[in-house]
Amino acid sequence: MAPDCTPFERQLIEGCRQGSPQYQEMFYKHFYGFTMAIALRYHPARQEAGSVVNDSFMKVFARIDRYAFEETFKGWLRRIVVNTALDHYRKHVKHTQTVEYDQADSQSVEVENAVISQLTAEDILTLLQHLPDQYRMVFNLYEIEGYSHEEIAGQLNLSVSSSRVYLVRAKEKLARLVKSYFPNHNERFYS
Amino acid sequence: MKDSIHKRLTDHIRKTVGRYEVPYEPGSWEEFQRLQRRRRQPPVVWFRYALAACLLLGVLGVPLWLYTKKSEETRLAVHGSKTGVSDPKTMLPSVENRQRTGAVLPEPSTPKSPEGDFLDLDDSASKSPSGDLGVIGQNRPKTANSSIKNRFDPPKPSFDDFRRNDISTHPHAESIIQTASFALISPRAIRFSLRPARALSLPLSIWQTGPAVAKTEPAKTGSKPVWGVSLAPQSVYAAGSSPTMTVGGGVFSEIPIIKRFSLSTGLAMAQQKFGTKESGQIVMTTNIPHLVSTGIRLTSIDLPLNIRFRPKKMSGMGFYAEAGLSSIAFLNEQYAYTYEQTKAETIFVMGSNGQEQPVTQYRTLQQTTNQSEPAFQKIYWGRIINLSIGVERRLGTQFRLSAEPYVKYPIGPFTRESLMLGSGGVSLRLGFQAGR
Repeated sequence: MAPDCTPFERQLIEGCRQGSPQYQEMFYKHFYGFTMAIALRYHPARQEAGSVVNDSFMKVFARIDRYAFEETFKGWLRRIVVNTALDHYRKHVKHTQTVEYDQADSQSVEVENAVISQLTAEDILTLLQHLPDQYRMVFNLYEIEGYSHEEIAGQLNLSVSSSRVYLVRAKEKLARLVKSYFPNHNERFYS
Repeated sequence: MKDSIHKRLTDHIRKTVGRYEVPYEPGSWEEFQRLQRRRRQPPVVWFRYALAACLLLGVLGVPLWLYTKKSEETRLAVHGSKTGVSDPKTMLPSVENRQRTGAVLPEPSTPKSPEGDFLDLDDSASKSPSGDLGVIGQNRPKTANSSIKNRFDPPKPSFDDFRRNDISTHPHAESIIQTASFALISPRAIRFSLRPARALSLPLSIWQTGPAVAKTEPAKTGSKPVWGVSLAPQSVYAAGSSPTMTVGGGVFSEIPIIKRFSLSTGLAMAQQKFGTKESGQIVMTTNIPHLVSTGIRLTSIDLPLNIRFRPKKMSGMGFYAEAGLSSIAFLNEQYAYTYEQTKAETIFVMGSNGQEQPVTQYRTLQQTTNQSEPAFQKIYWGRIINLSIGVERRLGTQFRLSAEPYVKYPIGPFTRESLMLGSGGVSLRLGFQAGR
């Protein structure tokens, strides 16, 4: 049994393997929150994220037979969602603006530690929403999913150096965004 | 310093979003199901289209084939041999031509003896190109004379004539007799001075039983289009719902194509209201809302394109049959989704020992979400097959009233919910035909 699977989740997986629509519905509703949270990190627009989620579940239901309970189920599911999000990004990459290096400001920003620790998941999603698409993609893939720059370059059709630069710029921009959105955490949390 | 801030921020983001989950949004599963249906649809739809095309071909093809066959039989009856002995060269182009030319025939130039006429007819006809009305007209009186002569005093043709007029080698030998029906009268009793400038061209029936002439009986529709309004009480049904009654209406037109076939089209609008109930739900262990019913309210615009056939046998009764396809769009699509959610609540009740005890109580909550689609979001081309029969009655010379029971069968899903929406009812039509 996969280490992260509860008996209920295992039952859902088995039901989906048999193609039962009822189990598929339960599976969808059970893992919806998890998959949507991942999709929103890559595509902050709710509709686009929903589309990624639905496409991911399509793939999951079609390939659930291949899941062998050897790795964590959520890890397997996460990989499918991330790959689907990347597919969507590549599909729409023609419409996205290429970020110029000189647009970014390399000035250092000081953010209070207390502000950082008080950021909620919703806050972080809002901050990510304000990053340019390429910055957001590179940041997510490198910092959260653990991809290497070579892998990111391959996935996003970038050079490795571009990937590195985008990551640095993304972090700087995030810090600036935190500073601009939450200049004083006391105002936010204690007012 | 900068790296330290970035590291702290990144670590916090990784930790926070790593375990973050979004609450389930009601309607997401239904949206997923719609997507699933759309992706599975194409082969099914094409299969249904093929089936519908075959059905339509059958419905339209069989009457057309029967009608064509019947027309051929009628034509054979016209050319059926009575007594005639003639040369195919003298055969006139058509009944219509003969009628037309008969009305404007010039005066025969020189009277000749019947025998001479009979013989000359062949000669002149053989010299004249067929279809030349003037030449035909000149020959016509001679033919008439010879025919009259033929009736009361049969000529005795020579051996050469018989050789030339061999019946067995001329399948259209009757045609010269046929021309006698429309032959000109050579009025001997009228004095020459009183003769009209143009020959009289009254049709003269010289047979006791008239020849079976293929009359061009006009179709009931006539040659001009019919326009009108319709009102249709109907029953609407969709898979998983019970039928509901509604009334539709619109405008229609009927455009004649060929004799018994016409193109019937128009624009009909109907407001349809029904509900679907979800079945086969299993009890969820989690308190996630699930869909229990959907209330649907649609205002549909129907654009039918039908072929109408009027069988000859039943033309007196005004009977017709119609088949075709309808395209559909929606002016208004409103959905009310009702979700049900079971929530566990812990309440404290007074126990038998006089102390409060926690008890879990399950409460079912219902939540209704309304959604609507913009008007004309999508046009579903040829998505419904129409089958109907009708009876028509004339009201005066220009108006006609018809009652038409019909069935509309969906051959593919439509609407946002991919419904297989069909209907059946009676269309009451009041038509107007200008200048009939």
